[in-house]
Amino acid sequence: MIVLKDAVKCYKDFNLNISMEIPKGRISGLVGKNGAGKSTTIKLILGLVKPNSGSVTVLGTESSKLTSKEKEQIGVSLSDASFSSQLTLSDVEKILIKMYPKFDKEYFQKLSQGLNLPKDKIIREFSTGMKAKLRVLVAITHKAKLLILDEPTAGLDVEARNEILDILRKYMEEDEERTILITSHISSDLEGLCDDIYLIHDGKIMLHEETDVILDRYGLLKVNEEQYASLDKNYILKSQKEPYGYACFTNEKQYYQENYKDIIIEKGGIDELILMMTGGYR
Amino acid sequence: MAGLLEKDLRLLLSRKQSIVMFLLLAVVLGFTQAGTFILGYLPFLGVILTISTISYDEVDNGYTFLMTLPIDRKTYVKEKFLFCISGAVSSWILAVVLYFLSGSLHGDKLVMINEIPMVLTFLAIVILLMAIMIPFQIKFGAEKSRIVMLIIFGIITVVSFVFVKIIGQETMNEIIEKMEHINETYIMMCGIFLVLLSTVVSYMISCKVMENKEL
Repeated sequence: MIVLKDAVKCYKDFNLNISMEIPKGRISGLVGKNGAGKSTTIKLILGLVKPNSGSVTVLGTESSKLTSKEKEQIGVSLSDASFSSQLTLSDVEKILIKMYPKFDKEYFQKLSQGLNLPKDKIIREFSTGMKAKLRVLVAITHKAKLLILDEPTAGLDVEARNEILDILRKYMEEDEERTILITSHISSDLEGLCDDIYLIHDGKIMLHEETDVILDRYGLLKVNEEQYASLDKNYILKSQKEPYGYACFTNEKQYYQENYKDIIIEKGGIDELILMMTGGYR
Repeated sequence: MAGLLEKDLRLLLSRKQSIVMFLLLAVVLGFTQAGTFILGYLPFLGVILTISTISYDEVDNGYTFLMTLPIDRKTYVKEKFLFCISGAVSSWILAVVLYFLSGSLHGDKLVMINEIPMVLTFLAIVILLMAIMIPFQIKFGAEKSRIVMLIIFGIITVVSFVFVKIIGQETMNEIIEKMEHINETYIMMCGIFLVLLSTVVSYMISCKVMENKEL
């Protein structure tokens, strides 16, 4: 569905150089700190910027040459851009009817009611949460094969976040060939939704792993100086000095659970993955 | 394309109160001000209002979002020209109607055929203005394009002044006098050609600007 092969994008103060492959029927998460390159990656995939070298193909076509017909099969929710804030939900509905031949008006109306979005209020007067809901609504109501969602749950409370995640799950259940690429700062959203996770840091993919593997096999060991000295470091991905000794990130949690009964081993979630692998753990 | 037109129409309607006020003002001015004022005022307003939709597209990363929709950059430019020309032509038609209505109310004997070249000149000027404005708006955005336009018109004024100084006022007067003797139909044809050429060149430049825009 999406293939980035050694895609390089150079800016004055930032270089992106990544390879990724997202097959049909997957929900892939793209995580990383602010400024890691998530938005540039999304822009490359959407053909909004052209790579300096390498290739980016989406639905089998070079992303910068996507035709209108192909774009009709993609639903996009960007974190900081949507329809003009002068328009109303009702305006957006009318525009989408003309924009997408497969636009599902009934589904749009049903969802907007369910998400409590006012029909005739201009978007500028929407709350942050309402705007986020609208962005997702616009992306998923024209039966797209591929969804690209940049921070779709940002600014939403727990209840609204769960509503959106449920909608996305239902969306995937309807057609097994549908694919989602999602970025989020809220790791619990990705842990419960994504099949696999790409970790991006300083413009490079640092790690690509199945979500289940991250949750089952990755862990954080908290050891003192003495324990650290005698620790088998073959399965330690990253260590960091801490006041109590060392924090060590492993992808073989079970090995340490079985062989080092006296050390503290914490669950390795996506938050720990980002913090440890990108050197920001405290 | 249809979706973009719908968007621009709805953006325009979101300012319906201002539009109604402008139209009322146009009617009042059309009937109280004698002469051709309305022929310039309304089409100019039509172009300004339709071109202002570009500034709505520009704010809050609007271009980035629009280019994720099933349209390409060329279609965006094409739609913008279509929308602005429609705005100019429809407001010009309204202005012409008001002009003749006001003329007949004031008791002026306006012969439509005789008025056509003059009336068309207003449309040509407004379309020319639009052709100049659109690429600047797309390239520099609403704020910066205003400054760039001022600089360009300033340069044109200075160049014209220097040109007249170099060739001398007398030669210039001779040129103007010669031009007055040129056939009116010939001038009109040249005018139409110039407007069409400017619009096509402006469209091509706008497409190039849009293609090279980093979003």
